[in-house]
Amino acid sequence: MPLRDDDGPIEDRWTRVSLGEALVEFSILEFSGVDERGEEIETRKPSALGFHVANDVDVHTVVPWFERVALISVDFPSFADGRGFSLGRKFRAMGFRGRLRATGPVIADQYAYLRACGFDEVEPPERVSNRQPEAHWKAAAKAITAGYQRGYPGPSNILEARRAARDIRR
Amino acid sequence: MAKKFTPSVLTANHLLDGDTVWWTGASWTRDIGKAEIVSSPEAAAVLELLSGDATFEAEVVGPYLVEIDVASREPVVRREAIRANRVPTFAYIADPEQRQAA
Amino acid sequence: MYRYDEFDAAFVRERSAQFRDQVQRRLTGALTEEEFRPLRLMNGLYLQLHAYMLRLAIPYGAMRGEQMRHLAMIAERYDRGYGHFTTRQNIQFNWPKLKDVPDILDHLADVEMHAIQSSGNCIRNTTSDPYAGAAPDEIEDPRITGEMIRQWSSLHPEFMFLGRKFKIAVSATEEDRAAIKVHDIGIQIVRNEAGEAGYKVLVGGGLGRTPMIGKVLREFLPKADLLPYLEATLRVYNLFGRRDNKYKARIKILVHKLGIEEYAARVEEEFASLDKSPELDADEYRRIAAYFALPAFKAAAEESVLLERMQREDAGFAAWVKRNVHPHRQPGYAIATISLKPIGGAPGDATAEQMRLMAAVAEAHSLDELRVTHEQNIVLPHVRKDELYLVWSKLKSQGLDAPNKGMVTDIIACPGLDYCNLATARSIPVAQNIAETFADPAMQEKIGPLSIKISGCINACGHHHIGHIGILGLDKAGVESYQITLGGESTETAAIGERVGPGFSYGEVTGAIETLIETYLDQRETGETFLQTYRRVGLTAFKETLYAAA
Repeated sequence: MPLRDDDGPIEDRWTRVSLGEALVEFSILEFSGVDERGEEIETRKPSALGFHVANDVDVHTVVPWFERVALISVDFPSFADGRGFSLGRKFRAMGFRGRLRATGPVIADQYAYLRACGFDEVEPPERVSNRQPEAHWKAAAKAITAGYQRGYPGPSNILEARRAARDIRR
Repeated sequence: MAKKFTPSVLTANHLLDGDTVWWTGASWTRDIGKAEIVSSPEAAAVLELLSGDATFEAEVVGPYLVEIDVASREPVVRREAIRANRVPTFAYIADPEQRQAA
Repeated sequence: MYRYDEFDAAFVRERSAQFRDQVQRRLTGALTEEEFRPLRLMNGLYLQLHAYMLRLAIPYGAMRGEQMRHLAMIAERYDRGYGHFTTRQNIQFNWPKLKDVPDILDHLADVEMHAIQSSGNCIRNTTSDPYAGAAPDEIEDPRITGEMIRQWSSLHPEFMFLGRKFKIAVSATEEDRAAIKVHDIGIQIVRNEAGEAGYKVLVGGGLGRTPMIGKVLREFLPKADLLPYLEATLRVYNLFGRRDNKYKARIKILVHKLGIEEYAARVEEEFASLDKSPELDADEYRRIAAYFALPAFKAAAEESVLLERMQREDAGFAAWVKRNVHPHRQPGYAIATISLKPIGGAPGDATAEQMRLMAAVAEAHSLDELRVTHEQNIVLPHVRKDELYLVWSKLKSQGLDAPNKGMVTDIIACPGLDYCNLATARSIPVAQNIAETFADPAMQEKIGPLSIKISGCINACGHHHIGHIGILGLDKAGVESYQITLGGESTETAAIGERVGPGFSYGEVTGAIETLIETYLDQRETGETFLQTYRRVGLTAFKETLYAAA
């Protein structure tokens, strides 16, 4: 499926590997099947391992893996199911520094929200991305240039801008 | 026992202006009198299949079948009758004179 | 009143342009209807029975005259000359066209208004006390908090795709005029033992299919912690609320399932982990508060000789003053309610002409302020008592003088099957029939305060659960059937009404209401209201007379 980030379409070097399949370099594993892999993944170097998590995953069970995986892919079963936004935010707040991917039929209009919640890249299915050319993602990302929420990464923060304006006047 | 089939018309709302519209068999109309009436479950199934088509989605929103009385060409169900009538059942534009009188 | 600064203005302009682009992409097929639907709902645009419906946000129900006049212009230019004020202090237009909506949003931005999050599964427009800033009993102006929440919730990146809609109400008085107990989050401004103002936070109230009264989440929250605390509360809901069944997706179901203690524990844990930097929120609170400084009231005596004389001379005016005028914090001033419930009218509807009149009256006589109430009326919050007669005379010229606030004919009704895509029965004509039955002012006076609330389906937009008499219209095998509940109430003693028994047909329901009111008049002790009598004698007495003939 097509993958993109701020710079546009990017090559996906990761491979989704099901439970019965052998690991390859840059494997994304279903987090729910991790225990069954046992030792096999204990020896993987962090850069080569990623997890795909359901959007009702217990965050605390993922935290111990943060230093050992380079990528977490969060499932968006539908673009209207927004649990993944809070999940991304939690992963970042709890210290995940690797690559965060939103996987599922998310649309261009959600890209800025995903970025603000800590995601780096999106992987929508082709039926969605075929209708939404790159220009739409770029435009949607810039539609709102400043937001009101503190502590969410984004282009600009209105509260900070107001404070700066006050400081200048003083 | 399966429910007896009631003749039906395909309706939707126009994408651009929201108006209630009916399918004539070839295009959308604002006149229920010109709607194509399907009289068999098979014909209705064909219409329903057609209504999921992207060309329909470019013009209308949410097509669905409505049961009608063939003689009067009025929908059977109250909701659909109100909808086909295009206005509320009461004098809906608040009239200042009426208010004064009341 | 709050005024936009350059940042608010730019934000609303960008939002409007963004919607214009979204409409364009729907028309070209880049967005499917399934994708576009939530996007248009987040901008207040529904597709109803006959047409699109556009709901505009009126934050905490407060408006200036210029804004009301703009609504009149939109009603005439893009709709059919009227608008409908809603139970959530907003206004909706029933006949706009999709192609015109981006232009309407631009017009709104001209007067610092928008349609952001007036629908959709996101944080909705925050509601508040329509008497805010004028009420004698408030701790501080709840609109400051309302504006903090408006900004914080606008396009919140984390909470735009919640499991279900999310409604917040703020009140600053012991007497609850904002129905905070039936909101997803209810916020009451209170003082702690040290005398500091802060928030009592309720969670999990709501109407709909499963009506519930909100439970206390936090007894006292320092003011500067409000936004992080809301963030924590919403995050717990977003992560753990149900997504498999839309009728079980509201926060009230989650709070009920986990229990309030467990919900509160999760919120506190989340809250503890957040970076709070309260000084920034405190700065912002002070900045907003400056806009809500007390207006320039004229010094006046508490009693108005003119008001007293005109009440003696004009019985119609006296009746209006008795029912529609409320005490003000400032000597010589009063709060006046414009009833949008003329006998025979559609509850909450106002024509463009009426809107312009209300705008002009507000500018001339209410320090340019108007409020929308959750009872679907309009409030003039700051009227000099000396000018009340003039105000009333002007309102009368457009039929806006109904002296029935809080009375049996001040009926709340959702649009129902006459407009709404979800409705199962008509509401407005039922309200009209009941109002006509009790039109006689002497009869209304005899009955006293009584709230009738009508919903045309189980989603309860007409708040029937919290009407002293609630009416719920359903569809029983193609026939409208109306269930009646008794004893509901929306204020600080909020209660969910009890169902009295089997439903009534469209033709029977007005008669049923008459029987209930006759029963009350028979049973009441001196000075009792309907609700007081009901609470004393209980459901059975009403049930017996109502179903006696059957």
